[in-house]
Amino acid sequence: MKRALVVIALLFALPARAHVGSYDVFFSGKAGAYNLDVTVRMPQVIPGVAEIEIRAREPDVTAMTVVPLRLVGPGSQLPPTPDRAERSAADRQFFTASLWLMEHGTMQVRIAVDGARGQGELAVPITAVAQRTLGMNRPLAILLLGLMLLLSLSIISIAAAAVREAGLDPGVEPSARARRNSRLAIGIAAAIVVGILALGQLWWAAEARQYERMVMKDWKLDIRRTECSLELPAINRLLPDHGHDIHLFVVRTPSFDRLAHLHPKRTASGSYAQPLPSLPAGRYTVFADVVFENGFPMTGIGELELTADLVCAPLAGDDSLWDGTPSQAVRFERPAQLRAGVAQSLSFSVVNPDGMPATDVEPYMAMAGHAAVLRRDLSVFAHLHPNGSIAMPALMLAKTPHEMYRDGHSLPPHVSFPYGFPNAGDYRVFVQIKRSGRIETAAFDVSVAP
Amino acid sequence: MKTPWYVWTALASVSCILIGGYWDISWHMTVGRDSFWTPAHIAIQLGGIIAGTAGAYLIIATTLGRTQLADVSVRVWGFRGPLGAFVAVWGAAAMVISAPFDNWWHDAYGLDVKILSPPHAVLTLGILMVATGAVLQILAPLNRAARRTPLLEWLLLIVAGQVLVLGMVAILEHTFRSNLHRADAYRAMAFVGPLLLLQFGGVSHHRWAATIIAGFYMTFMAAMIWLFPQFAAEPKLGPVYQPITHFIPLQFPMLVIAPAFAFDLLRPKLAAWPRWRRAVVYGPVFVGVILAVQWPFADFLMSEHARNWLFGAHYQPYMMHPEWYESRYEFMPELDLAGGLVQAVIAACATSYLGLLLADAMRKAKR
Repeated sequence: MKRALVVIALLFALPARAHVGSYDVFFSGKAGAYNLDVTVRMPQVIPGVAEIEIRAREPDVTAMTVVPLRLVGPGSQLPPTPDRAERSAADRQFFTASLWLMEHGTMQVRIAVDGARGQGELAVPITAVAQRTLGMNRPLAILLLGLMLLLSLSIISIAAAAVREAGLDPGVEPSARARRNSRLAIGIAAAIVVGILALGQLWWAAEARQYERMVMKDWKLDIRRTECSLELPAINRLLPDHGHDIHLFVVRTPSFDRLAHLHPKRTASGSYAQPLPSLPAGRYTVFADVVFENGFPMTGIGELELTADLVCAPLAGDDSLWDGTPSQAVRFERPAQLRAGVAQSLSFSVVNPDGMPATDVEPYMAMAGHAAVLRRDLSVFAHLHPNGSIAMPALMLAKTPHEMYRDGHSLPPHVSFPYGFPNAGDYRVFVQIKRSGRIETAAFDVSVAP
Repeated sequence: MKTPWYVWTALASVSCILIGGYWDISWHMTVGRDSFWTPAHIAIQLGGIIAGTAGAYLIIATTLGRTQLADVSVRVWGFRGPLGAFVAVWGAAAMVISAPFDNWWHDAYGLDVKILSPPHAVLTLGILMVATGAVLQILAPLNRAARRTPLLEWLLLIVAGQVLVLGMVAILEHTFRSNLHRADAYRAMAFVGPLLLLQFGGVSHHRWAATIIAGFYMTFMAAMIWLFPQFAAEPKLGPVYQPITHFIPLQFPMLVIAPAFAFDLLRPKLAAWPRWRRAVVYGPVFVGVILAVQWPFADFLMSEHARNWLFGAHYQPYMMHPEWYESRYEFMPELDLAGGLVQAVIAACATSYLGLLLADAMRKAKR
């Protein structure tokens, strides 16, 4: 119980967020009759200004407005006046706007669309969290320091001049006594200036420390393994994300040749337990995706070291293991170039061994597919769905329509994920689909240009 | 005596800052979010620019011998000019320097959610010095004049009234309506009222100086209540608890004209007393009189009779939660009224002394 409390305290004291190193929000959804691709470029500091880019897939959209508001609570029902999104002159289906995010936590952006087919609305959940504090660059620091010195020295001189000369009648020169007094004034004014600067420094440091506490920190997972069983500490107040409290991705690193997608179950004590599959010895990195009841998504990071091969029972249900065998069934429709920061659609097709489109694709945990994006140095991890990078429970809280399918539903043989790689480098993209009751995992290496 | 041109720029600079400052607060109560380029911010910076440019010109011209002020100027780093010009230029420089500092602060720690941050403190200090410079620029020719100069007298009273508005706005968070049955409001007023009323009242030769200064404050604040709601505006930040279609003014002014009138009545009678004895009288008088008038008036402000264009008690900022005391027209509870009022009296005595001290010093300023 004590450990559970510690973990919960940590969760709320140290803001973390969904995904790792991938802060912008990518979402594809419908506003009434209109299909929209939405990108929200999150600010690095909160309060800050996010930039939203919206592309209408159809040409008959005439105007859009956007407004940020809280995701849950009374604030979610009391929006301010929305801002008109600016329509690009070069691309009439592309709209942009700025979003003022004044508080930390879960928010939503309400997009209202007007067009030839009437009006439509779409809510896109976002998480406003401070990512960093900016240091001051050297030229600005030198400039401000110089100006501060100038202000400090000049006010001392002005004080001295006031004492020496301000009370004199016209044309009278200051007496020796006035000059002595002015020297005394220099001492007193200098002491006051130094005192004010010292107090200012203390104040600044206190403000910086206070802000630092709000900046996102890594959420380190305390993972315990006993033979074939994995235990995670208690995490309370979670919303199930397509039927599971936690989505656990276990990746062998640095080879990236094993991926287990697991769903630990809550035990009576509140902790989470997960049976492990057979795994070869090695070092594994564990990413745990959760969503709290206010829609706040977080990703915990842990490590698992196997000194010897682990032999366990096969996985069951929604749990899956990829053993490194390249998939012949899933093909990546590679764009000509993948560029950092650019919203692109990662599209995949599913084929039979004869190369013909597959006819047996079915939902995997109510989705047409799941994707996990990992940068080779593990600085980026993102869990995507065909709707984008937003966790399902947040979409539900925002009452945003999104695709979810019942088991047995027949799906087309292609799936795509809207996403923008946060920075240049080498990534591995894992894609998971389900065919005839079997979970199929494919891995693709991509190189992202700056 | 010909009225020097720089007293007008001094008045203009403080006026711009005053209107910009008021507008900025109203903007945050109404619209919520802003950028550097809102009209309110431009007005504030314009005030700094007027003070800085006029002061710098005066200093350079005097240093080069192009004014008649060489005999009545002070010397700083080889430059010559009126003391007020140096102080105003310093204030303007601090205001301008605060801008890149504030900009960096937003990049590093986010946009402001609070009024008081280190860069804003630099800006506030700059404004304080611009106002001080303006007062000195009017005061020096007034103190040098061989005979009475009614225009300069009145300009001084107006600028002093503007400074009182700035001072009272600075303690705004303590004097909102639902706080007016708590000692906190009177303690806050004790820091500002006696200091400014006795300082400027003592500098001016006008028989009713303090009353006029307080009257300017009250007239300005009341006029803004009548003016601001005439302009359309709507909230751009949520949650919007109060639907708003126009600018929201600040609340009805405090009745500081009453203690100011008492000061003016007492001043000639106490003139020969030592400073500390006068301070010991003025302190309790200020707290006693403001308490006697403001406390019952606060009851009126809470009533339905004050919720009209004249008193403006019905204007609520967009973020005012319907459950808060202000929204419910209720007073916040007070746990230690007597203790707080004792502190208010002590503070009022101390600021009375400081005000009298500054008045004596400023009466000597001739350059």
